[in-house]
Amino acid sequence: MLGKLLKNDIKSASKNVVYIYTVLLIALGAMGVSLVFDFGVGERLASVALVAIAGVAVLVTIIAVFLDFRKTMFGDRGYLTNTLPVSSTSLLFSKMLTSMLWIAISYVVFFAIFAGVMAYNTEKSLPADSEFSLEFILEMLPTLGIPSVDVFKVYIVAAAVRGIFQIMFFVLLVFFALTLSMIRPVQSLGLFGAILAFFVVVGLTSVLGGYLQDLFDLRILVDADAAVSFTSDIAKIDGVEAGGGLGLQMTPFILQMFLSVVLFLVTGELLEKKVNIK
Amino acid sequence: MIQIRNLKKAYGKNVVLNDISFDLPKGRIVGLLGPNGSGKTTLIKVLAGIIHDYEGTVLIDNHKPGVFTKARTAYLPERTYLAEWFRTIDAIDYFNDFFSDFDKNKALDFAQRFNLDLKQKVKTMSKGMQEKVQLLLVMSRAADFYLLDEPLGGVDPAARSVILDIIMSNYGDNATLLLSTHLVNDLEQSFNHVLMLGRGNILVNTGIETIRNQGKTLEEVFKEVIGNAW
Repeated sequence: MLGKLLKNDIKSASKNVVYIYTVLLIALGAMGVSLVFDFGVGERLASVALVAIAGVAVLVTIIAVFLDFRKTMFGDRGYLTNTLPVSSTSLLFSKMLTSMLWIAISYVVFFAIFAGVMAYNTEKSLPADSEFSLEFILEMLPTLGIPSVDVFKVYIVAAAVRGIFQIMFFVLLVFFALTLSMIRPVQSLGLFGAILAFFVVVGLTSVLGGYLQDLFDLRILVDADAAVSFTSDIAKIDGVEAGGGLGLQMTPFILQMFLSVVLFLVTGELLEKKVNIK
Repeated sequence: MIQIRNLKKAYGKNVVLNDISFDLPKGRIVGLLGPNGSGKTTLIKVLAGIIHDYEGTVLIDNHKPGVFTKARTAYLPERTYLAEWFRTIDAIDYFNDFFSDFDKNKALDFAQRFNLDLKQKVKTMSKGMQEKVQLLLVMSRAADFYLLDEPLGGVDPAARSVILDIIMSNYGDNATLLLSTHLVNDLEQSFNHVLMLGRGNILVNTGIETIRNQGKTLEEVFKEVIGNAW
């Protein structure tokens, strides 16, 4: 059943984001045309517009997936969703994966477009007869005390993996807040109740995360040779970062993972036992 | 079999179902009657498993409303629950995906009888057409329980008899059909059991034969009982 839920949820959410990605495709097309015909001003405008639209696409996608959750679970469509022969946790899991997928896609599209535009414009800004190329500049980074491309690559992979789980935490937090807003007495506050619940949990997570990090600052370290290790040794962290490596904070992230499990279970329980579809 | 014991449901201070108890054996066509606000829809929603915070015991084939009962219960709400972007064929495929007792060929046949365009989107349909789509979805299931909340509310009188015929000729002999309506006259001949609710209480719970044996029509009993309760 999970496969069928996923298929239908992905389809449903796609109906809400299809317009913004159509605009994005048109903008990409416009930029392509400006490159082919080499319109000076059009090209720059298209670059800016493209990055701006990709940014808006992230925002629209996030709003769309949460509106879809609210509509399909608690709106009129909830009458169908909640009478399907599947458990509340299956429904929640499917909607969580769907939302994560769409948000992750929007981020990937944004970063790909941003990186593409940056690389293109950097390459373009170099004089035609310059002996420097983008590749050459990137190769020179370590000599300037900046981490190498290989270090950046490993760091980006680690950050992306962490980012996927942070998206999961964010999605579950919003699902929890929206679900809570369907239960008395929070229900009487409407959407404001959901916003309030969201920021209360964000505030508590932030305070608790900061406190835990002071106690135990666990990090992923990518050293100058692009080797990965875990440590909470401050001296080692400082040494690696000074030597052209990078560190990624893990303590608040571990707390978020723990809270994700709690939020999933609590939201599932609320859906199963407390929520009434109006 | 549906067993309800001391069911109580309130929205704040407003008590909608007030400690009601009754049993409905299988194979019955039950008319759920009562004025607006009498608790009919709330009762159906509890049985359908979309209202959870009630007091008392609700059992459908000895199971609380949940995954088990939802697989055996076909529910038609009073509102449109289909996605706006759904076409009739999408809705049929959706039901075919999730309900193992759904008969797709039967649904396609109903769509033809209702003159529904399979490719027309729900959002472009009239309220009556949307109700027809939902009805064909529900009646294409071979469920043990049918919960129909005002299925004739938005359709014109001409279509009413067709819909009624489809409802009455497409549920299994052992299935229980609980149908809420205000159209007492249209449905009197169809019911074999009647539940009348008023102010959250059960005012009448009897077989239709008992009413007929008293020399009364259902409408007369309805006016008599509901008039007193309201």
